[in-house]
Amino acid sequence: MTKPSVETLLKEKKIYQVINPKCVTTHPDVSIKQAINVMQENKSGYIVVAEHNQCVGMFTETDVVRKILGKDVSWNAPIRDFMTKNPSVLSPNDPVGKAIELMGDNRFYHVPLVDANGNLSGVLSVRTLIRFLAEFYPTEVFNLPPDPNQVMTQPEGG
Amino acid sequence: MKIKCPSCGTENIEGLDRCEQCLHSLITRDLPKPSKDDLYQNALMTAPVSALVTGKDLLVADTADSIAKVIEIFQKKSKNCVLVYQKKKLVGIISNRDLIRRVAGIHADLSKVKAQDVMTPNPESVKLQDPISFVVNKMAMGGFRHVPVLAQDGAPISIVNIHDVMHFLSSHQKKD
Repeated sequence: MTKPSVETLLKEKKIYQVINPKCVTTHPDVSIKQAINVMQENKSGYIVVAEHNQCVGMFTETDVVRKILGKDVSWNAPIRDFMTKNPSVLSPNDPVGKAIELMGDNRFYHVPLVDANGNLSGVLSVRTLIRFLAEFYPTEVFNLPPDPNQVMTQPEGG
Repeated sequence: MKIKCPSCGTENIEGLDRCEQCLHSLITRDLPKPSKDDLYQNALMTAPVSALVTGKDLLVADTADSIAKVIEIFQKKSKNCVLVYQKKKLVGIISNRDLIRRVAGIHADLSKVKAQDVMTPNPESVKLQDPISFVVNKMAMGGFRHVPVLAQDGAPISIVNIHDVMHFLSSHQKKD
């Protein structure tokens, strides 16, 4: 059986076939303090900010580090004021290749997925993409020792 | 079964690391090769990490530096990741994620927190001549978004970001 080339896979594989079903969302009126708690509990670096199932923004660890830490900001302020508004979105039916292009060009870590009716249906993380890509390569490549040409001076275990 | 040395043609017994006649390495002989007509597989398996390195992405801190200083640099230079060195040896890495997990909402006075208390210790690293697939694998297995690139002697050269890999791939996509 011949495997399809990576090129074809990137065009044919759809985002909904590769995503992780987990998606962390909150309302835009929660406070910074609550939002950071949510991130820490879920071990996520992002929150998709949604209102009535519509995505209105992204609040990410980059926002926290750049706009909040070490600055004179009230931790009770709503994340509405600090989130990235109207983020770029993808459809779950878009090909994976399009996601790679969008993330590579704009340096996003997470992109919300919005279906044809405008409803939030998930989130695509850049790490999900890289795991998907890593499956294309023969595992032997990765199991090489750090220096394949190294000569052992002692027998194993010696 | 005998293995023929690609350099001198001597037939060696199977399993040897080096040719008995000329000492040519036989290790790389059995490595899988990318399929010739697969553009992406070729690009990722043959292009070296140095193709991703711009020289602009390196930030280095000392274990004793305060987190307030690290955050200030992140904000000024729009960076997300710093390598932590102690006596010319890489001992850790700090990215936005470490700041969210171990600083935000936990420490009030950032100037009293040291880099060594927040960093992720002993990060995985790659060398300039490694193929890009090594970086992809480290990122996928460890869930990293940044991987340090080091010289042979452990000196820092750069930090490869997961976006650099995505960008590299999408630039191949556009050439079609």
